[in-house]
Amino acid sequence: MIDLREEARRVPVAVAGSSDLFAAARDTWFGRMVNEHSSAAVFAGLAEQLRPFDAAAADTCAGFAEEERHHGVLCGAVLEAIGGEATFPAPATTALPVHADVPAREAALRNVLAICCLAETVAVALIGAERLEMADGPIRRVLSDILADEVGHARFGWRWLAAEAPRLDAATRARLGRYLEVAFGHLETHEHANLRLGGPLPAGAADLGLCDAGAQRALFRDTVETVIVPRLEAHGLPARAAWASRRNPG
Amino acid sequence: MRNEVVRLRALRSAMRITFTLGLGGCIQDPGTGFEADDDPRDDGGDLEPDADAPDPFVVGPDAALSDAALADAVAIVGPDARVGDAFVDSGDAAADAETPVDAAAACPKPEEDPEGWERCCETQGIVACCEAVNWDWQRAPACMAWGPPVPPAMEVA
Repeated sequence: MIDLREEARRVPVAVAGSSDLFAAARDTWFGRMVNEHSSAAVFAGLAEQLRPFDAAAADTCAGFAEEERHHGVLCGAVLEAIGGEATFPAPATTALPVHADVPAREAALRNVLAICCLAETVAVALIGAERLEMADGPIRRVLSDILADEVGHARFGWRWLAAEAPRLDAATRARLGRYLEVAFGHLETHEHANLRLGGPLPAGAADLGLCDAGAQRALFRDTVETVIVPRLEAHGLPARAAWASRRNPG
Repeated sequence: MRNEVVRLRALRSAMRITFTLGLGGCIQDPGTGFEADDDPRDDGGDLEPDADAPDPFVVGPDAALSDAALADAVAIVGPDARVGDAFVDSGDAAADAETPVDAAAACPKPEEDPEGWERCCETQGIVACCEAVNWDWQRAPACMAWGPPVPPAMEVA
């Protein structure tokens, strides 16, 4: 078991009163705590994959790993504040794919694309929208802290891509396009699994971090189609075709 | 239904971070189809990144990195960006049928196989884990998709 209670209780998050919505909010913040904590291993793995090419970038990603772990604590703090307990079964530590079918630098770029240019860019939009819909208060400040870090994580990927793109030949771009088919499908599956549709939301729900999963799914799609795909295309990657041909796992 | 201002500002937040400054200057491509002027209720923000802003890519003290990123986020979404009346549920979210991609491998119930359930939670993820204990997903929508998942491997033919 992972136990974040002690760290979480040191974070000053006080939510007044007791709401009927607290039970539902606990579900959401529990899931966020687990997801954020688990993402620390993703950035730790990316750091090691980038280290042979750029030690500074690797160190930056190692810092991102710490930030993700801290996000888990922040989400745990909200969870504790609304009556939950910041513990959960230890998640599996799945290693990042090494993509042995391509050169190491291209393999690293695949993971940067999937993690930063896709997943973290979507996270910026989703968290940004949720933050806009939330009243000022301790939970909104938690969102602000997390959003600030996610901006850095996403931007890292786009900068890495900008530096790598000019040296990619046509064959590499085509291979990356085929990888994007897999990455887009994988991300869509992940997002839909975590954006669970449910009943109508009563007043005050947004202030506790409960959001309209249908609207968030739509925002995910809009972010991919109006932001990520055009920007990847601008870097010479066949992203539009990849999104159209995305392959969902399973 | 989500307030359109929220949707557009969230998209712009995401768009803005995709623009980068390379060694040769800004590589912004004007043909991306999303411009600041698209939203007439625009708060005057600029899609162009601030060339003088601290660069989160550069390794530095954690505090500096965090401050730079936070300042950027605040600049993106605005200091008082709340849209108080934005959150009214459409009421027909359930009509959006679950798609096949929601399928997840089932975990055993913890009362029947506690070790198997815990192992399943570790390998199959939180959704399968929670559904094994009859988690009431319909009690409220859940929006938990933040942290990046492990990237997929390329399927080798």
